Amino acid sequence: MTLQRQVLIVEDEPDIAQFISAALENNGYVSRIVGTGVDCLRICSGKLPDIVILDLGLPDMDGQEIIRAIRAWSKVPIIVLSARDQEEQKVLALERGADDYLTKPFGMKEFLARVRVVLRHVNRRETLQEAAYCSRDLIVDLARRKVSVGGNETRLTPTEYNLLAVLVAKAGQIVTHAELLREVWGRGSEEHSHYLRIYIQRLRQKLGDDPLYPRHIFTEPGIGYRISAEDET
Amino acid sequence: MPQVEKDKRPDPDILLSQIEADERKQKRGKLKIFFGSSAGVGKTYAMLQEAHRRQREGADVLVGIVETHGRQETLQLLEGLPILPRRSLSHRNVTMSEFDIDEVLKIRPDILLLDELAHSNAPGSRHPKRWQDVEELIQAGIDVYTTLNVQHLESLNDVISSITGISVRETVPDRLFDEADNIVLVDTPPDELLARLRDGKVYIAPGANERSVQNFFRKTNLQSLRELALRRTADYVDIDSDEQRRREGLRTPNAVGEKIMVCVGSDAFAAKLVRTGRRLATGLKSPWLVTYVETPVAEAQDLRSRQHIQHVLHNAETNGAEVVTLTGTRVGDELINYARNNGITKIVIGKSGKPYWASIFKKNLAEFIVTESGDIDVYIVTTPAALSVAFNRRRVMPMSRHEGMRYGYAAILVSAITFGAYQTEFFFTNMDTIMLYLIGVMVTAAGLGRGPSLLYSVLCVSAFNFFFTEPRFTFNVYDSSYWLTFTVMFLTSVTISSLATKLRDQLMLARRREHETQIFYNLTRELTATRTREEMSETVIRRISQTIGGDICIWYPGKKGMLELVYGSETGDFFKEEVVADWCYKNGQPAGLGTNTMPSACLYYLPVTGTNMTLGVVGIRPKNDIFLHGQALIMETFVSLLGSALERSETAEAAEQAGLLAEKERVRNILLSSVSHDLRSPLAAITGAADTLLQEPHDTNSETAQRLLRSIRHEAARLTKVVSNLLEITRIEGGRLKLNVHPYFPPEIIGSAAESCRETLKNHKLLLKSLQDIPFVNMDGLLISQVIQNLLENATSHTPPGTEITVFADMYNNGLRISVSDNGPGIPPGQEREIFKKFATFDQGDRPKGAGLGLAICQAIVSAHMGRIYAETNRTGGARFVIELPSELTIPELS
Repeated sequence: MTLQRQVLIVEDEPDIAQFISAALENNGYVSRIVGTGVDCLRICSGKLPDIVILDLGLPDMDGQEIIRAIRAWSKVPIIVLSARDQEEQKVLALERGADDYLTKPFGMKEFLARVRVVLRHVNRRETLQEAAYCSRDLIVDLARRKVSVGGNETRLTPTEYNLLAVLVAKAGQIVTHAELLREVWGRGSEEHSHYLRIYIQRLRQKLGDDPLYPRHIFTEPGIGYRISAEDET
Repeated sequence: MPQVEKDKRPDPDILLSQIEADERKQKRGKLKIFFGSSAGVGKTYAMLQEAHRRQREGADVLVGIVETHGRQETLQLLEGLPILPRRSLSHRNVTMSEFDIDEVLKIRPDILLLDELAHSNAPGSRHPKRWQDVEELIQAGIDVYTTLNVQHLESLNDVISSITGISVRETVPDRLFDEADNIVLVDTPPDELLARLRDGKVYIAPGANERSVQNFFRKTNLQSLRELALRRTADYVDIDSDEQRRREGLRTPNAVGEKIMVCVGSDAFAAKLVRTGRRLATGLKSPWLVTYVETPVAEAQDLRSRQHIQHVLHNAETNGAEVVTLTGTRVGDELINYARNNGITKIVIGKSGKPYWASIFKKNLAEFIVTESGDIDVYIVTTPAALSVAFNRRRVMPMSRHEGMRYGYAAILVSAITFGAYQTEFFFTNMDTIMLYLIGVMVTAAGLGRGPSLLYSVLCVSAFNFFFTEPRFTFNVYDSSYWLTFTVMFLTSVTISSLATKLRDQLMLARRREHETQIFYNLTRELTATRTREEMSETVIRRISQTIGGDICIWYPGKKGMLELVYGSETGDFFKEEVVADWCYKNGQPAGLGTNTMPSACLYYLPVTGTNMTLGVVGIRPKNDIFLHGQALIMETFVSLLGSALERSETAEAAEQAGLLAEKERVRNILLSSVSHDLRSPLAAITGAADTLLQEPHDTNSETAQRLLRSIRHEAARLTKVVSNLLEITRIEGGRLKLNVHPYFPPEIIGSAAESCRETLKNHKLLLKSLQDIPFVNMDGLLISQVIQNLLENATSHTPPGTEITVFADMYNNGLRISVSDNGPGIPPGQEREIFKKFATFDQGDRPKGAGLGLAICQAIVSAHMGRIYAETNRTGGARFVIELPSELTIPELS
């Protein structure tokens, strides 16, 4: 029996907390519910859970502040839940270190998939870097900086490769525009999101990805990009 | 019979004005005047007795001012009546106690006793005269009892001073007397009065001249005064009964259509003319007006005469005259024309006491009027010689520097012509030289005015004599025929000068009129272009300072109705005069400088009035603290223009507000019905399904349970959409929609939009297509993606499952075009525009789809991009929605 994952649900609405908890327990997780930011921080300062599901609208604290507080000492994965569907809020939470974001109301399937992706990503981080990313016909050999699609090697410029590498490093998760720009073009270039769109477009072309029917790189309008999660093997 | 009835029916206009007057009276307090022929007849005594009677009846009586003059009977009567403490006023280190009007307005008694209506208040009081206090109190709804002697009535002032030899300075306008609600005549026969005088029962001011007292209290005097008082009271009763008759539809016996015009000048005599006119008008019960002709010469008059004429005109206005200021160079013509055009039947004019010879050369005004008046009666009032002197005073005014310069120019011109003619004498005859001089006179008269041109005439004749006639360089002449030449030359010169000056004056006058018209026109035009109160006020301030100059300030009521200083030119120290501005605002009457209310103020305050309320106050300190009569008129016109502009903007604002409210109301109603339906039906489905699942515990895997759960999921998704659409439209309508425009790749936008509604689209066939080499296009990618999502969702909810939906992106005229079409049932004909309206959900049987907001949101977003969205029916008969975005987007922020 594998070790059960501990999930901390920070949610002040008992009904929502209940059904999230039920869904997680059904899928083999162990969950604990707290209703306030203070409780959340108290628990996180003790034994860390494996993942935190955080509601942004708590009675005592702003969720954004909780993310910042946790990130001050821990890299525990955080998935943010909120009724706020404003893009700025999503981007802010991601920028502050949240790993993913779901807007209420959300589907349970979607939710569980996100939890899985985030945890897998952490696993990989723990078991050291994998040498290659592999999804459908796309293979990125991170050690040799080689990319191939359908077995044929594709030549990428350094910028295109760097862009792809940043996405692959967080495969399955949203990478915000600002983060991509910062990682690829350096600090201070966060404003130039149209560079990003142009390079993503070129990258898609080279990877044989149709922007109308993307298979590899997905656009999250107003937030960032996400490369599809690795094939589960 | 009906005919007779009809004739007897009162004129509706009269009836209406009657009703209005009655209403005004009802709100106003009542004025009761205890009227007597002289001091000592017992007016105060009668007033106090009446006060006691009313107090017994339960009225709240307050004694404002009652002068007992130490008489026992009166003092006794004061007992039992509450007395208002007097206010101390210090003026130039002298402390005086005065009547405290503010306290009365605070206490608000039913009846206030205020002795001596003609009393002049101490300097520094709100009003200079007590009768003005009384007017304000009545306006405020307080009944006032007061006393008045016949000699203090304005119109009888002259008569009485000629009878008694004592002129009275303190006068009360007859209007006040005639409009009083009650006149109580207190009459004591002269013999009795004289007896009381001997007993020391009549108050004589301490220090009064024994002889003049003796003179005044002569039996003949007292008899005349008594007669006047009785007659005046009879007049009052007569006026009152006339009003009664008019109200009942009966003709007044004396209404013969008389109209009196009093012509005044700026001399000291004007006041007497006004009084004469008023007496005549009262006697005839006819309307009267006072005319003053402003000439260009009048412009140059000294401040004293300007102030004087203003005072006279104002006084006439308070006495019920209509005041008319005419402008023109020929006073007589202006007056006659006005009289003819306005149905004047009688003209009152003064005749100056000038010596007879003065009128040989120039007809005086009175004579001119008499000759020209035709069938208009002319009353000529003689000016006493003493007053004439005052009239001529302005002629010895010292010349201004400017004026001196003009005389200098005239002299220079003579010298220049003389010099020129002398140098070229070889070519010219003396006749030509004279001609040259005469040209000069034209120039001088037209350019420099009357005085300098007269000087020119004298100088040129002298110069001609000195330089051009033999013997040269003397004023002697050998040829005596030259004397005739000189005379003719001088007369011609004077005539030309007179004609040219007249022309020049007329021109100046015309220019000034033109200028004024231009000013009003400009202001009106500027005001029409302004929207806010700030802009309007600034425009008016700018115009006033350009035209009249001086310090200007504007006050507007702030929150809580308190007046706040909003604008003031930098130099003014306006805050000190808040009381004056406030009084002006509350009473809707001009106040401050040059008025009867707080005249010691530095500024003249005019209320900015709308149709039925005061909107603010404009204050001005004119240069030299005096207005020309014309300037006051300009000022009034400016302020009234401001008033109507303000009102217009307020009305427009109110209408806009009302429109907005109505629109809000409509949207709210539709929202309520739409939301209640759109929210309730999915909620009902969810509740029903959940209840079924709870009542009969199913295996969650059973088919029924799965179906119920799916329906819950589906309805919840619908609810979500409705709510998010509502939030979105609120965000857009709330003006918080800001475009974040960058170059976007259209296929990426379409792809991400399709991805976002993958769940909704799972039962439809989706086809995404794009032009091969489509470029990046400026847009707010997030919002356009939202538009496409809404269109896709709209397509899925209006077409049956399995329908094909195609999204296609291409270019038109360098712009981007994205279309979303389906092969479903299409849009009902004629609805292509309607569906973009808020809450428009066209009837589709019993299932409404969404709250009808999706397309409205699309519309708002696309218009913010300066683009266009429209719906049409495509070739398959299905719907096609097209978004067109111009590629050169210059996108303003949405307000």
